[in-house]
Amino acid sequence: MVVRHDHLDAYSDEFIAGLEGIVQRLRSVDEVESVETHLTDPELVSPDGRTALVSVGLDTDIEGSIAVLAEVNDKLEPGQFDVIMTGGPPLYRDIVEASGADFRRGELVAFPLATITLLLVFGTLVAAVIPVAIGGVAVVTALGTIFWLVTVRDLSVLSFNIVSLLGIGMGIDYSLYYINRFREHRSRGASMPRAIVSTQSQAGLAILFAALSSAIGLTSLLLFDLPVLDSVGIGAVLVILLVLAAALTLMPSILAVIGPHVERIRLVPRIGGGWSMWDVVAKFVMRRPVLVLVPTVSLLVALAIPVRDLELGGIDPNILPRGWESREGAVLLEDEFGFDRQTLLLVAHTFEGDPFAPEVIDRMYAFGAALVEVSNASEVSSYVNIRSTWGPDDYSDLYRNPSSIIDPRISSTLEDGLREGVALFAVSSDLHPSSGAARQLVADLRSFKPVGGGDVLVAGSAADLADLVNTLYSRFPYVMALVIALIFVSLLIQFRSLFIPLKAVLLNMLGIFASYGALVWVFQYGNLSGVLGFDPVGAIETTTPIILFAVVFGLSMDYEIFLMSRIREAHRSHLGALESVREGLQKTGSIITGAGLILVVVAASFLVADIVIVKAVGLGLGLAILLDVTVVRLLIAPALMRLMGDWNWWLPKWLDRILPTF
Amino acid sequence: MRASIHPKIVLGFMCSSVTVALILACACSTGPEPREVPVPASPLPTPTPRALEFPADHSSHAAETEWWYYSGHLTSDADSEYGFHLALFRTGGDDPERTFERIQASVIDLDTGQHWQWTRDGVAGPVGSNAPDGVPLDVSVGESSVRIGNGGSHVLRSSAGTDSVSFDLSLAPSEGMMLHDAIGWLAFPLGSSYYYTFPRMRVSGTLEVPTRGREVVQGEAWYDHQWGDFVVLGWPSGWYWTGLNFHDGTSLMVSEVRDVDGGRFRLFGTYIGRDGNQRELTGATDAIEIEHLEYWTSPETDAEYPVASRVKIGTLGLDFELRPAIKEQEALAMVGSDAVASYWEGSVSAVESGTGRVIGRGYLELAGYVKPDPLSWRMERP
Repeated sequence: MVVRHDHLDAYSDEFIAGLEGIVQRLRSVDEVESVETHLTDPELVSPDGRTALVSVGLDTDIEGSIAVLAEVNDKLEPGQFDVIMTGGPPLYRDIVEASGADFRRGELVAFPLATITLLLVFGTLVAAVIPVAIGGVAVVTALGTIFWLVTVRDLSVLSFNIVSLLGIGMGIDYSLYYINRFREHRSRGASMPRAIVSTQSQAGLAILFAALSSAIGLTSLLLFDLPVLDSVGIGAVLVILLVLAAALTLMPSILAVIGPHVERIRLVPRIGGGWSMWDVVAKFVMRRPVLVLVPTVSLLVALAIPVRDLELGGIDPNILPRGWESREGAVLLEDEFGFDRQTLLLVAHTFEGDPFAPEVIDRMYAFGAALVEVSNASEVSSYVNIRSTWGPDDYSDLYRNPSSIIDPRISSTLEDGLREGVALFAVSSDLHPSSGAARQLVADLRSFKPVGGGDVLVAGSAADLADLVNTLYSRFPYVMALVIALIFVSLLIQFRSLFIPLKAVLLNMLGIFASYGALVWVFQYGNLSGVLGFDPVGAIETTTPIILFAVVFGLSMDYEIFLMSRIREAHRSHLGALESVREGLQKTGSIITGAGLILVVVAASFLVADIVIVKAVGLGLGLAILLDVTVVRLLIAPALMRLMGDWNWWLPKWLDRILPTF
Repeated sequence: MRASIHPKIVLGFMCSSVTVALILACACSTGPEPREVPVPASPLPTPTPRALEFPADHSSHAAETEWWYYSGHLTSDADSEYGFHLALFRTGGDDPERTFERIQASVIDLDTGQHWQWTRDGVAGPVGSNAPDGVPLDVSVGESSVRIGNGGSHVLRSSAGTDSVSFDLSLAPSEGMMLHDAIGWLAFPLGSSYYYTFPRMRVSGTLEVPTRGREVVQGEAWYDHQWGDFVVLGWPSGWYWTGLNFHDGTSLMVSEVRDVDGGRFRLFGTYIGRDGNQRELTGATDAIEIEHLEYWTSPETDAEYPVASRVKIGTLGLDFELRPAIKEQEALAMVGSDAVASYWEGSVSAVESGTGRVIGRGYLELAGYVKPDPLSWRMERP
């Protein structure tokens, strides 16, 4: 809690009287466990003496802290003082509030934009209503299920955002693909029931595989054992399965009722003469595959280059814009106390016996002296790191009679840093807690063996982040490999080709790395921060690349499956390798770009969010989809298939025999 | 249409790319092997004491503990007698995030026995001379301030705030200086300290108390300056200290410093004779004896202070009793709500043993008499 007054010095009688009132009211809140001010710890006042920091310890978990903060706010009566709360609980409270506001604001932006895009893509009002119904049913059902789920287990508020994004996006994807096939059958004169049955057997199968691929990608989030990723994973898989169910059941039912009228109320005129942009593109790609491949692959590689500099960061108040209380408090702490330039790590060394016994002091002194020598550790504070000119004998002298210690700095070192069997060493550093160097510092501190037995444990925000990064990113490659393998097998079964799954996973990875690179370029380097309205934090939040991988890998695979299904159909109807590629591209190009653009619009609505992480997910997702539905799926993929010719459908005979058939 | 790259090459390239990517992705780094803590190097050596330089050393230093101490006796134009004391404390060395300043002051009306004391806290500025005009020291804490000019003059201003008690005093430059332990540097039980004194500074200015209003005063003051890495310990450690100016023109500092366990760490003193020469005194060689005659128990802190004592210094032929002007001269020093750092700082007279003649006066300081509560860190919390 940062406490300031317009003109009073923090040590003036009036300030102290006011502060004591605030402290008294704080203590009247049951969950307030400890309150410390500059009157007991001189470090809790800014160097200019104008700003006091009140350290408040709460006896509650992070969820419960929101109610406690509300009670504190009610009781505080700060009068003429500026009182700003910051730290973990206020940040959590602000993130929850901002996330809700982001959700509503995103809907307000996404809904009209997505509606306009829907009308443009579907052409008629009746057809455009169907995806809204499919997505809407899935989103409402998923949200309802989540409301029930939170009575059973905790879920992050991010699960709402992901349900909304994917529900609308995939509802539109699947509807567009389905309705397009339905329209094709109807245009060829098929009766209503026949058109629906044919669509269900062709598009329905593709949608089933597409949804399964997405679900496989998103289920991977559950393998990290991190609540926020679990929440996103649960929300996403739930809504995808609901969209799938709606697409395969509700969709044919709706078409059975309003199918004859899907071409009614046309709002966007048909482009006449049978001309299609994708005809032109398909012909060009088939003629000049290498000419298409070189610049497009180069573009993706160039976009991916900044990934080299990727720094993973934690959640700190800078993910919120100015104006939120926890952010304002953090800014004050940075300005007045220089907290942004500090990493504080707590190293605990356990031992047995009396901490003041000379032999324990000798051991702890040796450990503390080693910490002082660690690179980037600017200061070490502990009960045996008080004066640089003191050796173990001096500390033994000091602690011969601990009761005689009245120096507040030494007694607070003892109060904060010594418990039965545990000595704490507070290691300060000028490194930013999110930096790679800070994580290296954590590793260096952890590398020491305990002196004379016991354990060494390192905690602190940089250590938390290091643990999080290590936990997530030691699993990430394996999870990635598993997802790739599962989707590879799924595509292998569906398309009975070795090359097509191989190409699909490689291109997906290229697209994902390009979006990672763009994220680094924007959110880490700070480019476009003015346009997008955020303060660069110099790092990408740790879970963002993982969420993006899971979502984008699955979504991209949808488009791959839509495209390849049509190409395979054409190939199986005895068109040649090249003709089938051209046919597939012509038939699905507009669907893929249309569906992708709607999803890009929905993802782009995240850019109006307050929370930087939500903006980053929106940008990463939007860009990845945009690249996928234009450059990757419609230029690179066909160009590669053109190069491969008949090898596109090559499958070893033994493999063909053992693969299941649909 | 002709493909320019053979499909086998493309397929082979892609297979190898996926394989390499997966191998790279799965190549997890192993953490470093745990390492033994090296044998600690010797701690940094305590800096060798240097010769003091003035006026520079009137300034603040990058020391863990530093104080400027003034005490004296004043007479007003209306012949009212007062004692005063002001101490400016500074801690935290040169770390701007830790520095802390405190001014503690008191006034005693020697005619009525009324005593006022007050404390002001603040954040200390950077080490060294920070005054715009380059004087060695110019520090303000609340409404109290200490300024030391380049020429050796001092200005002390302090106000109790609510009780209409204040003083505004100028101390003229003075020649006679004590460099304790010969060079102005002495050892404490934990650490060491520079320490010098100007025992007789002429004072003029004004002083205000509620009963008499503001008066013009003049008199004599004792100025100490001490800084170093020493740790100030409480009961049973601490010290007995007195600074006295005798009517015959001599000055004496005597101190008994108690060790961590309460035993005597050292008994020593510094004396300036009539010839102006300094002489260092030690308990053993100069036969210094201190016998406590009377104790006073503080109602505030329960500390039992030896407020009256008999002091003998065999080699100087001094034998006198130190008698307090009043017993209630405790300086309450709060750390939060804890008064454990309180001490007794009072005006005393030196009364010659046997004759009963007042031969001098000064201040007595009794530190480390407040018995602390058991510390809360004593393993009471999980």
